[in-house]
Amino acid sequence: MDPRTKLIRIVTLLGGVYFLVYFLLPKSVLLQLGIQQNHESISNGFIVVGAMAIGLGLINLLVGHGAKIVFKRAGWSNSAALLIALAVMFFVTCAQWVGSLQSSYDIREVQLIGEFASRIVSDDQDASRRDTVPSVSQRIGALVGYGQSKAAFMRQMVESQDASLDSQESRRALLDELRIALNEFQVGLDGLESSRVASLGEGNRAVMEDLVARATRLGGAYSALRQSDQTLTLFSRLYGVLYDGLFVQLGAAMFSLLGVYIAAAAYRAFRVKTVESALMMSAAVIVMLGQISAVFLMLHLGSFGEEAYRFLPKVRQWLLEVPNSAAFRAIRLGAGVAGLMLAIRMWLSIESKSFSSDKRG
Amino acid sequence: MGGLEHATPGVLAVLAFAGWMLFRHLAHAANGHQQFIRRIPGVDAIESAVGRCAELGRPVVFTTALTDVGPVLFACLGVLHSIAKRTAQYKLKLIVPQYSPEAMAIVEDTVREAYRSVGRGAAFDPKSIVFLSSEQFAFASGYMGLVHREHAGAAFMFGVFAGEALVLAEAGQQVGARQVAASVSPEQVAFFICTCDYTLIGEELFGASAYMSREPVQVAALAAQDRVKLLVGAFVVLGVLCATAAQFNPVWNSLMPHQLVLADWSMWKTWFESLFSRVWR
Amino acid sequence: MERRLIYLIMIVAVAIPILFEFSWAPSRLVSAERMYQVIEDVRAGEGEIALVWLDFGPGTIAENQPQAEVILEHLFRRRIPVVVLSQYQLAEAVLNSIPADIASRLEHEMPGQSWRYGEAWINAGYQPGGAQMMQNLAAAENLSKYFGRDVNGMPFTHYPTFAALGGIEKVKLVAEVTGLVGVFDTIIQFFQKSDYRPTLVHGCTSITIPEAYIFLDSKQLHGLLEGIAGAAWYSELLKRNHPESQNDRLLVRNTALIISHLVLMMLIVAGNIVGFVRARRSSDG
Repeated sequence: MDPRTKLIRIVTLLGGVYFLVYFLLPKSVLLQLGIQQNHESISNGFIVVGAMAIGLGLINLLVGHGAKIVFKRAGWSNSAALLIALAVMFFVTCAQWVGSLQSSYDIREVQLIGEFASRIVSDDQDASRRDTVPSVSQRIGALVGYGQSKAAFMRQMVESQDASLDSQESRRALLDELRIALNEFQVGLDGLESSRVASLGEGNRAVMEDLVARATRLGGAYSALRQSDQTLTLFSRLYGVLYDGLFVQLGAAMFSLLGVYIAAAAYRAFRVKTVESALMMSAAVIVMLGQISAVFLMLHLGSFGEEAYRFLPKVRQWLLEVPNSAAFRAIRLGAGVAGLMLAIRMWLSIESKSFSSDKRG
Repeated sequence: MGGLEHATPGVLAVLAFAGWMLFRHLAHAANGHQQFIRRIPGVDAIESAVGRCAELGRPVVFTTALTDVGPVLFACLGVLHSIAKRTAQYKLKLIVPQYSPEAMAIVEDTVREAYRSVGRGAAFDPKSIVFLSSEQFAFASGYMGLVHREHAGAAFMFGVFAGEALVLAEAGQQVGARQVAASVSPEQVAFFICTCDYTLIGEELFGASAYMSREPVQVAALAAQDRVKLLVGAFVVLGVLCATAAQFNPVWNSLMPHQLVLADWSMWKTWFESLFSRVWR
Repeated sequence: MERRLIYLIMIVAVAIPILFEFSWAPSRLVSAERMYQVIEDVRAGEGEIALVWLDFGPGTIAENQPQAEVILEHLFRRRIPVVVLSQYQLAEAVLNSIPADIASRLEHEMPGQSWRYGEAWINAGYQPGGAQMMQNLAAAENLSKYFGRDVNGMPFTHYPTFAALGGIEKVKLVAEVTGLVGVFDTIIQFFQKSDYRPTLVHGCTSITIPEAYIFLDSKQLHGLLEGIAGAAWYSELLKRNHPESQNDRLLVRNTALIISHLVLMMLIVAGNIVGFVRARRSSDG
């Protein structure tokens, strides 16, 4: 057995052992062993490894279709269309993502004001933390300085955007909300600066908490405006056209094929040739009629229509709850047991002997 | 009823039984014991479909649809291995469209090994394993185009399917391909029955894989899972009897299989004590 | 030729109600009534929420979107705080748009009342990891801490209603709306503790109705919306109790479903007649 295969088997075994142990042991024991606290990080690691596989498909697409284009094999124009579409979507999505990252970063910088102010208050109330952080006056000084710089930046942004006389009512509303929040925040900040808070007694704490509320409102208003602006950028619009306009509609169109295909399949295959097929068709018709039983009322069939309206849904319900559930449970139990066996074999790498190139004569 | 957060004695007992059965049958297989497997009619359908392609000179398409790396994929690979051996022997074109990038390497390995086992290793074309898309309906549209362009003579659909099942099957119908489907997704079985020439239901997929490959490991696992199914069947019968008896005496509710299996470690002690005292009374 | 004719008949049949915008009354579905009662009976106190999984994308949006809308409308009317999230990466657009549309519609119907983001609902976005993620979520002591931030990057603690969520015991209702294979199973299997299992309701596509019934029967599932028909009947129940509720578009879609069912049954009969006549001719000839 070559070292690579050995390594894969060992890693598979250890991974399975970890999750088996996690399932077997009760929570109290897991906490004592320190597993419970780290389980989320370990699980996330497995998720990340799985995500790496996305590159495999991409490489295969590029190699396979690229070769077709280069050597001008039959259907190379379709391959070219595929790779161009892949490149365009990839580029637009990346550009939109980078833009939204920048926007998120800017929003985060403003949200930090409120969080920092809130942290100053909570640290001051916590005796164990009070001695581990800089003094209140130092922190408030830093908060004021940072807040003033951010407020100046936002004021400049609001003024420059006001000048463009935005025609969209919703965006004007967001700008107005930001302007109001900014003014309120500035008042709060100026009040804090002028009061020269050195410690957080009852009165000063109220001032700080008021600033927290104002800063939170500012953060929310700025976030709403930046997110709205983000949707108006070129790449966001392109992304919207490609995704909502093209991809979503194509997916829905493909799914809609099912409707017509079901009709064709039903016409072709639902033939009463045997007792079993007659039973199957009867059940199908009853279930369909039970789902649209209101039609019987609309057709004004008198008491027959009323009885059908009442009776058919009950029969449909019975068919779904009793024979259908029994059959589905049987199928699921069987498939579940088979899956359990295969999972044990995969965990112990018993499976890999069967099909790998390692197997010799 | 509460949930299942970690193992209980009942769950452990079932797992231990399943493991014991598996190793017992593996040991029997290692000792040369031949386990009988009933021939599934679907196997005949698979072989006749490949034979028909050989007569008509049309390619064979095998898809695992939405199956990711897991137990179901390995079961599908057993059938793929057998089909690939036959297509190699008959010098047919085999196309394996793929949905999952992770599965591609494993599938390619399987097909290559199948070609090599019949001495036709040089004929294996890696480009026959085609990645279409990881998006369900993009995969379905790619598959439809592939089947139409290649004018497939046989289409095998094995694995996990969702809404695209009917789209895939109808594509094969439209080109007149002989179709055999096997789905562990029970809700798609109805669509396959309407559109395919043969449909394997539920664990018949695993049975077909074991039957066609005749791998001792697969056969042993099949025998083991049948034993575990007997245990499940016994639970069902026990549950029916207890539920019926509970109409007359509620103490029988304590013996319901789900109560037995889900009872927690600490509850087992008190459960035994209370059952004993009620029965003894 | 026959096949193309069938396709044409089906397309015309489904298109007629959508083009002419007429609707028929929906049929009564017991499972939708049960689900309505389940949500009516939900009581959410301080720090208690409903989790609504919108695990659908472009493929099944036609069936799942109306279901998501009626469920969210009912939860919003009952003032139960909602966290919307998804296990499916293509659901991003619906996570943003559906709750916002419902909130805006309710505010329009009931002036003076508001359903604001951060108070009525919060969007936790796409949660990757499948079964692993679900297990971690169920084991979390503090859901606000587990989620961390919403889809806009704001911390959960920023919103008073969602700042101090406890563990899974604080989730009074879980609604799973999906047409995907496997995602519903992860909730059934893993979103539970040994002493607590939240009330679970499900909006499924028509294809997965038979499979969902096994969970309804075993009481692992407490309510079920069966495709568009289930959503249509649910919206009727909402309308009976809240006459201002609008459901015209949903009823039009349901009418298309009704007509397609009738056409399908006629095609089955026609197919059998054609098959019978051909068999007779070949046996005579």
